[in-house]
Amino acid sequence: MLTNNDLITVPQAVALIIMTVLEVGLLSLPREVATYAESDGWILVIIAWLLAFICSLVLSTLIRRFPGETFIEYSQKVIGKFLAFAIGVILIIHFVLATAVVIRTFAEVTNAFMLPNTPREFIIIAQMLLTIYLIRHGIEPTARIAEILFPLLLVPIFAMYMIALPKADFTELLPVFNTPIKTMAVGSLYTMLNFFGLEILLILGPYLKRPDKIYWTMFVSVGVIALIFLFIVIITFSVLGVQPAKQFIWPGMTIIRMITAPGRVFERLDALAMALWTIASFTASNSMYLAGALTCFHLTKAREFKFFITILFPWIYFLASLPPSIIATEKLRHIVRWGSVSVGIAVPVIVLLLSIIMKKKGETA
Amino acid sequence: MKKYGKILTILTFLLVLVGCWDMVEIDRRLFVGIVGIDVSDEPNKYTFHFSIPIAREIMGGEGGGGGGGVGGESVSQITTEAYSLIDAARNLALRINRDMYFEHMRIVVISEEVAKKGLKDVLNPFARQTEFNRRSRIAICDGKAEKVMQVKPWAEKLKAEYMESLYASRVMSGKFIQMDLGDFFHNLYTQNGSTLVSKITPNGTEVNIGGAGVIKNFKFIGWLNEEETQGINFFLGKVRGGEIVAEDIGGTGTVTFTILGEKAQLSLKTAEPIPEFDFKAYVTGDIASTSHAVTYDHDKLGTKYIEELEKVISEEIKAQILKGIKRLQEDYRVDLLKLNEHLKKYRPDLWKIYEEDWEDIFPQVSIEVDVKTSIKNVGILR
Amino acid sequence: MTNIFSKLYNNKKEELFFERDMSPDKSRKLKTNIGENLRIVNEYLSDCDDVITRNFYMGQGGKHQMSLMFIDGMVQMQTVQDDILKPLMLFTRQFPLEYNVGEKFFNMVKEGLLTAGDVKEIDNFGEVILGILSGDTILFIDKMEKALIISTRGWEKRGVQEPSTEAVIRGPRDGFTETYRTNVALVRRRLKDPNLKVKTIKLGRHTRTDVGIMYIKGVAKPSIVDEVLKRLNTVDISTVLESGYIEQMIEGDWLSPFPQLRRTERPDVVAASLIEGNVAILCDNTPFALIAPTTFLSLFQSPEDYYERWYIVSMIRILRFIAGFFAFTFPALYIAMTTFHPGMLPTDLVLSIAAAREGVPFSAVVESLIMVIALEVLREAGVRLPGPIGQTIGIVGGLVVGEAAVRAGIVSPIMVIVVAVNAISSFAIPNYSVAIGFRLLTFILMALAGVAGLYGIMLGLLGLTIHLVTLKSFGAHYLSPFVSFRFSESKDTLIRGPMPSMEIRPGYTRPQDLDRINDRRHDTIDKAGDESADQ
Repeated sequence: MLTNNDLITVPQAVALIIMTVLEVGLLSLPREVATYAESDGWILVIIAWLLAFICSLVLSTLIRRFPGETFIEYSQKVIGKFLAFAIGVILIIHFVLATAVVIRTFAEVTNAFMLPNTPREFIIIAQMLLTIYLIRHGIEPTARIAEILFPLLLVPIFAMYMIALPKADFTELLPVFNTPIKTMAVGSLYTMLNFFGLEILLILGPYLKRPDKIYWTMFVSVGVIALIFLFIVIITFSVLGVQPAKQFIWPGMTIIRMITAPGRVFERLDALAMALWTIASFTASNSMYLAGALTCFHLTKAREFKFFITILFPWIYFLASLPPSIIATEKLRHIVRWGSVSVGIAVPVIVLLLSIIMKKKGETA
Repeated sequence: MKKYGKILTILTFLLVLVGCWDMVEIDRRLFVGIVGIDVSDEPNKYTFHFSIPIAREIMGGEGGGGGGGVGGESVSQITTEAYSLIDAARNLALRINRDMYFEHMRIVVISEEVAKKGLKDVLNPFARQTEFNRRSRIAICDGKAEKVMQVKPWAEKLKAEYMESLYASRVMSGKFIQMDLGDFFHNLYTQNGSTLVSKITPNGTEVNIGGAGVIKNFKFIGWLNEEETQGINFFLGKVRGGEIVAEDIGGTGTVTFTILGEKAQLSLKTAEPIPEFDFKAYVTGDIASTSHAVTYDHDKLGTKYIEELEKVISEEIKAQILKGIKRLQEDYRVDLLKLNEHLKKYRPDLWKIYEEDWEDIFPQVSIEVDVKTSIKNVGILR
Repeated sequence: MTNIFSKLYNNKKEELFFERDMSPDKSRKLKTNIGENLRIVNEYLSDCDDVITRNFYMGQGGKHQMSLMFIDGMVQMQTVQDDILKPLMLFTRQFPLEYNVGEKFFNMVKEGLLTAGDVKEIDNFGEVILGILSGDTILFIDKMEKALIISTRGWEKRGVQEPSTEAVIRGPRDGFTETYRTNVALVRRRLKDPNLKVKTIKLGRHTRTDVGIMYIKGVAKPSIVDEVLKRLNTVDISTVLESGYIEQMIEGDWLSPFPQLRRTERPDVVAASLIEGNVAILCDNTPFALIAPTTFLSLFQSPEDYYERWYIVSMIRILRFIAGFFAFTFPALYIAMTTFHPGMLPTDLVLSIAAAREGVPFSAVVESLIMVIALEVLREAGVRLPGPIGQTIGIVGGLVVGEAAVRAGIVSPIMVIVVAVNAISSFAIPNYSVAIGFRLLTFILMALAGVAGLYGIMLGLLGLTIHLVTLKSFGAHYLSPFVSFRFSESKDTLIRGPMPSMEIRPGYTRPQDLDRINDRRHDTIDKAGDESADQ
């Protein structure tokens, strides 16, 4: 196993989860909720929050039940070796795909807003090299980076949206509760997909320093994510309007293109926002990549997990450059999200239920 | 030592890659200030004008050379014919050795004729591409866009700055439409392609930005004059400044009222068979000049005078609002009063019924206008 | 070089060993015959003309020989004459002829006659040689297998002066000197605490420099003290001329542009750091002491920070951080903004930059490279040249060359401003060597900005963050207290809180005794031990 030092503290875990989940929804979430429920979009966020919270409860309970054990280890006990192995392989594929999608989306947005002529390959490779440089240091440094970058990302983003606030017209949020229940239900399920990334906890569970505080950790992280999402959706709707929010692929960026820094120090902030988004994308790809490498490590029971970082590199690069267009990327992202739901909710639920029925528990619990 | 080697490799790569892709020296770019669009003789083509400041002329020559030397034009203009804006920019690449750069674009001027043909395809690149400044203004000009481009402002070197700062002024904010490209698209998308748009009228060394253009279904259909524009701005609660001039009490002259702020309130009175709205505006302001003496004393005359003045001004504002409404309802039959939005937001159930044939219902909608003015200050003169 | 030296050194027939910790070889014992002893010593110190041997005879007949050996210039001649030679020569003459040299006589000389302060017995050549070389005086007495080593060290030295690299407006003016003992005394004078420990070892095969480790027992974390001692003991180096030799030998990551030990010329800084639980390493022959562990923040701190009132200090600190940021990003930002994202700059500024650059033959990257390199050269030239000329170089370089270059159209005037801001910013960092390190990063960031604009800069900054986050200095996180952040520590970071509010010592050293101001918070000690005890 790894050294004892390589444990994640509670604030680090919170930062890591938030940063991982945030990247995904930050730019496109307003468009999605607007498409599903028009001005009721913000309600979708709240419902999705509750759903995500339930999902996080399942994950937490599993981690509490088998403290210090990896997911592969205890799922072997519960559902048998072969199935556990299969799930492990699926997890690896999922994480590899997720990393690829995160990095590819980043390259896509960078090309659109910042560097139109820079080859996508350069951005992908640069981003991957940076990630590898970090995660080779281990799990705790990865979490530490998330902890350090957390305020560096959130404060400027918050500030930027605040600058847009004078343009806001909050009547855009009207009418309320005007969407049929069915649409709402489906919509909130889809919105829930924006919380993808929570499943890294399946893998990082045994590396938590305080597994007894996992409920608290999850509660805080999911809550903060939901609040940030809510904030962004409300600002986007009220500044941009619901209809335009549907029209733009990344409404979040469109807002930033509409504002100017106070005092006109900067004419426009989009390049700056992109630079900040580098941080978000970087942390998300870190934890996904790390989770992928760790799953390989757990599955093969090797001595050193760093070895797998190198092994996964070509696959992630290949998958990241696979989609021919931005639309294909969005499709792939959608697939990954569904994968995330299945491995992030369905599998844990099954494992948890079976373990309760079979009365299997971790040794120290 | 292995690590050392890796670092060296990466650094070497970096040095090789410097300036490979997106780097363009700042003096190799042309910062387009104004884009003007006119119709062309060829079908489906437009004439595009780009006004580009010449940096070295604007900053003036160093030393004693003096700015107005040979060809001292500080802004130059390029014209080309093309199917779309992007097409135009690419066409120009054959003629110009520098990169056109639109992030500092200040205003897009569209000629009346182009706007009449429809704005959808002309403006699409502005919304779709990221290289255009979304905070640039947009205006429809009376006549040819070229005329606007040829204006030589006498106070400013940069035409684009001059026009943009006109729109940014708060003093006359009621008589023109305050909007940038972002707002423009926002309105188009939320109002099914109808919106008011700024008007620009060239006049030799100046432009006039008073008035507004009416766009319905992405097509220009007519003008509003300054008063009507101000009326609609009052209706939309957007007036933050400007003056109202009315006849003074007793017919002794005129009174000028400076607007400080406005609060507008719209509510639905009855819904059947045709919706009726109640509109209330609360306007605050100062007296800038009168033909009477104003007194603070507790004698009845002074207080009464102010009260009467308030009434006169209210009537004047009300008249403007009604003029605006009438024009939109009768002549243009387009709901730019955002009544549809109001229904949609506050009475989504009703909106479902009206949505289909709102265009026919809107001209018949009756709006009760009530304006309350309060005078805050009368200056330092008694 | 080292090989040649050691060969020369080892060529002697009978070797004298010095252990790894530089303690002398004690196996070769002194002989009974004084002639023999002197011969052997002279064999070791042959061709050393500065070694002086003073022979004299005791007893009325001058029967028994005694010898003094010392190095001219390293001993205080006053002491040698008044406290050694005078009593010995005056009193031993009066002993009766038949008085035998023996244990009794030896003790009488040692305890009754010598008036020097520090006298010790030795019985082997190793210590004799080391004593002579260190400036002590050795007294050989005939027929004795022992000698006396008398401390007479004293040489020409610089007095305590104001430190030149860490000047303060408010605060003590004394700085370290080149003498180890003086330096230790300067610190000791500030900390009259029996728990202030000083451990001295000798480093350097040729130099045998005194190196002292200072810490406060009960405050400094024992593991850090052990770590420092361990690392020092593994140092095997021929020369230690300055504490920089030690610094580079014991720092953890030699690829890092950031120093992992803080160096200071000021005893008050050392004292303050010791109280915060750090370990100080003092080195003979240099006024620069080292402090370990070091954090990134401490590189931006000046001793004055604690003497001035907290508003002022907080403002100055924030300014320093802004300056620190510009010190390595400004030219890169300029490149990124003008060549990649001119949309970000205000239109007027863009036009004026474009106008200024019109006609400049080089690209912005090359232009800024030229200017930054020129500035580095100027700085170096200014440092090396003597005072008045150095200033002239600064003026000539900065004004004349800069102005001429702009006039000639080789660089744009904006570039001159950018580089000037960059340079000035880097000198607002209190630590000179850090400032230079930052300037090194400037080049890397400029290259990155040239490749991918702001994204490139961001890549560089993220890489730097990863490096800083994973960097450790003697077990303490370099970015502490920002990693595993605790609110109580935030009062002495980017800002400095009011003095009464700074109740606890910084946690990165994880001092055993956490309280700084009063004793209210004993319960936090345990807590601090719990949290992130990852060293």
